[in-house]
Amino acid sequence: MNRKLVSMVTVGALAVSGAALSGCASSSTKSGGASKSAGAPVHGGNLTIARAQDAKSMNNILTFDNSSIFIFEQIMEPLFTVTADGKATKPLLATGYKVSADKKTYTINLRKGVKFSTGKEMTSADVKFSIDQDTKHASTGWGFINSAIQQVQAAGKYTVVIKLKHAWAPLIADLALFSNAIVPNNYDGKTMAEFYQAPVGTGPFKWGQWKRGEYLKLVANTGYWQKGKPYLDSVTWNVVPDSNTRKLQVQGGQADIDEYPDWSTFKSLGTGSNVIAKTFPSTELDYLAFNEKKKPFQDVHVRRAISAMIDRSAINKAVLFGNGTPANSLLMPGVPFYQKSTPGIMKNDALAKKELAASSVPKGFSTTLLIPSGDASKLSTAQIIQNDLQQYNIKVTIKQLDPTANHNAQQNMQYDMGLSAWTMDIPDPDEWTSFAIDPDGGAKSAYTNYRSAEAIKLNRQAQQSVDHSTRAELYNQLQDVVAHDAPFAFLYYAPYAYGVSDKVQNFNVTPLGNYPLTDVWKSK
Amino acid sequence: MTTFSLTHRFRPSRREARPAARRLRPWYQNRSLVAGLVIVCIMVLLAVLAPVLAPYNPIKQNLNEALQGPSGAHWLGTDKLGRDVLSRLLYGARVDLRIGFLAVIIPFVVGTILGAIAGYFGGWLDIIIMRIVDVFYAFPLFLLVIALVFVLGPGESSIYLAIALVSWVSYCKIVRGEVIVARQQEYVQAARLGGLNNARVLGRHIGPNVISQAITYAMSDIVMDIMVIVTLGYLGLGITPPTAEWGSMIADAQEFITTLWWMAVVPGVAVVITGLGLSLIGDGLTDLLSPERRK
Repeated sequence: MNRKLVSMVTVGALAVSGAALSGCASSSTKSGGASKSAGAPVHGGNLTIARAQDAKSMNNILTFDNSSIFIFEQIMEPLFTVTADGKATKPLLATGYKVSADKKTYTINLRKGVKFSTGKEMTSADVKFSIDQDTKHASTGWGFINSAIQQVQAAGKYTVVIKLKHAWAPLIADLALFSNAIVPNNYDGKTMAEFYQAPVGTGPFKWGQWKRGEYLKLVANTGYWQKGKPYLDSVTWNVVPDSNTRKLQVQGGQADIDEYPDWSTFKSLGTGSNVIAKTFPSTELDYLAFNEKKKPFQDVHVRRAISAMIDRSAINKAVLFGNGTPANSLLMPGVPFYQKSTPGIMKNDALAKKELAASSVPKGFSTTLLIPSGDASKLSTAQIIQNDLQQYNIKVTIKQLDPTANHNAQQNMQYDMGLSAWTMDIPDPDEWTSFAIDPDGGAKSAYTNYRSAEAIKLNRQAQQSVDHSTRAELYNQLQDVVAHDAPFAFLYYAPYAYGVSDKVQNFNVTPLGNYPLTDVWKSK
Repeated sequence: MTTFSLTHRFRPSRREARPAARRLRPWYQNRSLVAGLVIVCIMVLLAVLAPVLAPYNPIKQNLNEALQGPSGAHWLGTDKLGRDVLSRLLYGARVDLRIGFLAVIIPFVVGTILGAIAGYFGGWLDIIIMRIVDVFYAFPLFLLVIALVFVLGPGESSIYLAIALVSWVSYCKIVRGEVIVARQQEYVQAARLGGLNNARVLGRHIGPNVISQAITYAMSDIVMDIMVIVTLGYLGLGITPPTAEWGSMIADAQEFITTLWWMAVVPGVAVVITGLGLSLIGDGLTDLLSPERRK
């Protein structure tokens, strides 16, 4: 591609398509944002992303934190990937698949001519090894997602057959998870630990350099199977813990993207500068969890009463500066089978009084609300809830623990009420519903100890029925049951916020939170 | 005995050689002390009168008026939850000053007593006490307090306990040094030869002569304690919300530092002014209580 044949001629045409692109997947506070998205994609340049936290590990089957995941997803690709709206899958390293009549055998065709960044061709042996590795580490990593897989067979050089224990609807969505990304067979002869020091995959970028606590750099994979991509020469993630510094860096041109702007300064990020403050629809649900092992939260009336006391629009206004939406359901709008009409409890004085009167503590009680320290948003949310509940004579003491201790306290069920959030990783509700309402899944119903025979039954039926409309009906019923039982007070759905320099084109975040950089380019 | 009486005879003449040092100015002519007292008294008055002076309830949320700039209704504006910043500042003074002043009492008493015992008796008692002191000294003060508060759980009582456990060592070291010096002096020797018991010698004769150093140090220790409380509040380990406190006010305001900067600056300045006032008092007390140390 001739790099000099750029801007002037194609300005008009691409400005339109650029606007269409940013319009479909995101909204920005700067309506003129597309005016500079000029010209055909240009090769070259380094993309600098300022982020709050450093990555932790490049091991895609054992790592749970987003700051690592967003990076290794650029290196290692799965067979399928998520569509831009986050609601469906599309083939990536696969070209397609066939399902047997009994829904228990999937035959997947692999894309031919895909090479690892080492130059070796990807074959079914690599796929079998990668998925088996993930499954093998079910107890410590993401392998639980493959629990329905009985066997992976390398049937031919470019054909993989997956046999299931029982019909399992979310399989393709599971295969699109980063933990099922394809790595070279037997880690190219290295040990697992050695391999993930400098991981190899088929992705648009390959390993560069990691100076822990400072930056992590990936460089373009010049032999990438999507010809002509990626456009960028390299991507650098700089660790900049202070949000004000990140804002100034992206405004001053030292960084191209602010990965995690504060909501409080989000609006000012895009005013009077060459930065666009962008929000992307997400699958984030923020909720108040009730520990049903502690009194009086085993009482459904108490949970329903508290849910009806919380002023969600006030939280949205004070914490998200109006960028969120009050939450009405266990599922998020960006997740398949989200039911808009789910009767999740909203602020309702009459209902709160009625439920409290019917409860085991009609005169109110004292309790605690656990939050991680150093989180301004959660602290504000907690204080609003504290204020709301006080009006019904429920005295809440806010307990702040450092993030690790907070996490441990929740996992060990040593709390009364706690603030948490969930973001989806696969385009299927099962990941979250199984975690949130199935107490036998290991997470004790998202650490609430909520146990409803009806909800568990609906969830298991939905897992195993492959028919879309049947699943939709089951998930609708499930959402209704959970909305009634209120094991969580759903608070709000928050979008993802990014501060993006107007030089950066095609930067999009899927509702699952990841941002593929294959198509991103920088205008000069 | 001859040597003893000789020294005894020489002492008074050495003192007379520095008559200027003995000529004390009255306390109100000590500029640092007066300036410090004025500042601290104003701060304490503002804190005590907060319920009268504060225009609003410091924890009352009003989300429709959140994040307003200074105005006639809210002199210092409102915070993220629509609470009046001025009211929170005044009520915050109550919390920070109260804990700051009260938290020095236990370490002062405990440290002084242990330091006096170690210095006076010496021997294995001294060794044991001072090794314990060394252990505490080996850690940075803030680190130890933060670790303790973390273990004890946030709240006012754990702050008192953590400060008490950590900061007595400074008093202990100071008083021990003073007592070792005083122990050699004639008036102590005389008292002991006169048959007074140890408790009386320590309490009535040595005590009043060495306590001034500890009192002076206590002034800077209050500043330190306020710093500790503010730091803990800033880290979310201090006073539990929604109680107003300067450190948590700064933490709340941090995300607005580029837009509503005064929200963080005002409580910060309050900490600085209080610290300055107390340091001036400490400085003045040094002059007043131990004139012989003045050059």
